[in-house]
Amino acid sequence: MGGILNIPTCIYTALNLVVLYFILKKLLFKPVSEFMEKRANSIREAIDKAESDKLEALEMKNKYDKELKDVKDKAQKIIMEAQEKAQLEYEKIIQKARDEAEKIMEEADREVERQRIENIKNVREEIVNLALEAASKVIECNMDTKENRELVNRFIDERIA
Amino acid sequence: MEEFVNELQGLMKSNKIIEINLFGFDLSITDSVVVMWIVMAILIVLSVVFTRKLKTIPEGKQSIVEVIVEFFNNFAKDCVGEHGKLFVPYIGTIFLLLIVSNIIAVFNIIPSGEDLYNLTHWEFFENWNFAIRPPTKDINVTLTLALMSMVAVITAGIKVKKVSGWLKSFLEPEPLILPFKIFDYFIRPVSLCFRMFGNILGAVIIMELIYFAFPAVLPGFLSIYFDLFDGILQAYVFVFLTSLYIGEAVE
Amino acid sequence: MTGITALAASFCVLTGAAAGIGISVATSKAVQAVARQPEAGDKIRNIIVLGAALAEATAVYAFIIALLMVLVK
Repeated sequence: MGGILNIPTCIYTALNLVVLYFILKKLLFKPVSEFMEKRANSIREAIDKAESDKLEALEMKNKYDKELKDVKDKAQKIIMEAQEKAQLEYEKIIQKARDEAEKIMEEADREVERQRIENIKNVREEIVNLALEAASKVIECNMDTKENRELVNRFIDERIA
Repeated sequence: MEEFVNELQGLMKSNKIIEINLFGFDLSITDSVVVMWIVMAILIVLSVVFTRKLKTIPEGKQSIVEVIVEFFNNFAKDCVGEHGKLFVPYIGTIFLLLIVSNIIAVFNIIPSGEDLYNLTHWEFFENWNFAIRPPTKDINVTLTLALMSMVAVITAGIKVKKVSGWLKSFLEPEPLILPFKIFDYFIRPVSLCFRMFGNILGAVIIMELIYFAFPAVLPGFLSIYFDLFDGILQAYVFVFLTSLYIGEAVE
Repeated sequence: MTGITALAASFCVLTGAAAGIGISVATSKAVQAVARQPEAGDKIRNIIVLGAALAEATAVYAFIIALLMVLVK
């Protein structure tokens, strides 16, 4: 049994293990773990940054969309206003023109009426004169008196009426 | 047959390669220690070569080393729990050491001292009692590794819980359990040590018998099971149990 | 004397049968468990490795004791 247990081998093995532990820790586990952690962190950072960039871009897009919509609304409003104004103006002009035309027509009507009355008056005078002249010719005396004239006028009125 | 028994006895004993006697103490270096040094050299050289010029996008050898380290990270996280990160270097170190130690018998194509003596009849090789065998077939090595694992378990418990918390954990959940908890600290290293030693020595002896009976072809196939599979499985079991014990200690 | 030692060693190694039964029971249950719940495969694998290691330890102890009986004089 004494030949199997060997204390120096135990000591050497323990030393070997401790030395190997420190060497491998320094050469293998620490650098690789740190490296992988660093890479994981950088990837995480990149993803975070992309995410925040995306959010920012979305926000910007929303903002621009809103602005665009505002501008469109404003333009629409301006156009509507202008149209309304134009309509108003148009109606005003039309109204004015119509008024003018009416006025002119009325004037014309009045002129015609006046002319007509004048004409009738002239014609009647003429007829009276003619009638009186004819009558005086018939009776060879001057009948141009006030009573006669009145008579003829009454006659004409009767005829015309 | 007598010769074979002698060879098996030689397998169990550690053969002195270099005799050192310092101040009356025997500090001779045995073949297990030499093979362990070879294993360590392989591991150190590989880790230097594999971790050179780490790049952000892994390729080739870097992805291998990343997979290995990631495996240990996950292994420690699964078995130990939240403090797992602290013990990744220790768990990884014994895992790598044990795996390479256990499967190094695959390389026993390198001639042993006996083969060289038979070949050349040089006197130099007559006492060159060296062959590449797993150092874990030496009970001294497995015993030391098991004891170091228990040291790691105790250190982990004290580091995480402080001395008072660690001492208190002996009385939890019932003070009655105290003798069993203390007993645990003796039975665990013994079971770790003998499991490893018995499996690897058994595999080595079986392989030796097979070499004795069929020197060619067949040993190659059986070596895959006895040297590679058994070695890796035992390394996994050893590390798994160690990390379970650590996890229990820091819980 | 050698014959008696060898006989004792062979009896000792019979423990392996028990260990084999133990491991096979554990493995069959693990296979059933994986078949029933394939998603728990990782956990079950850890447990089966642990259980097989513990069961196998008995056989290993017997083997070591047999070896010591035969080889160490």
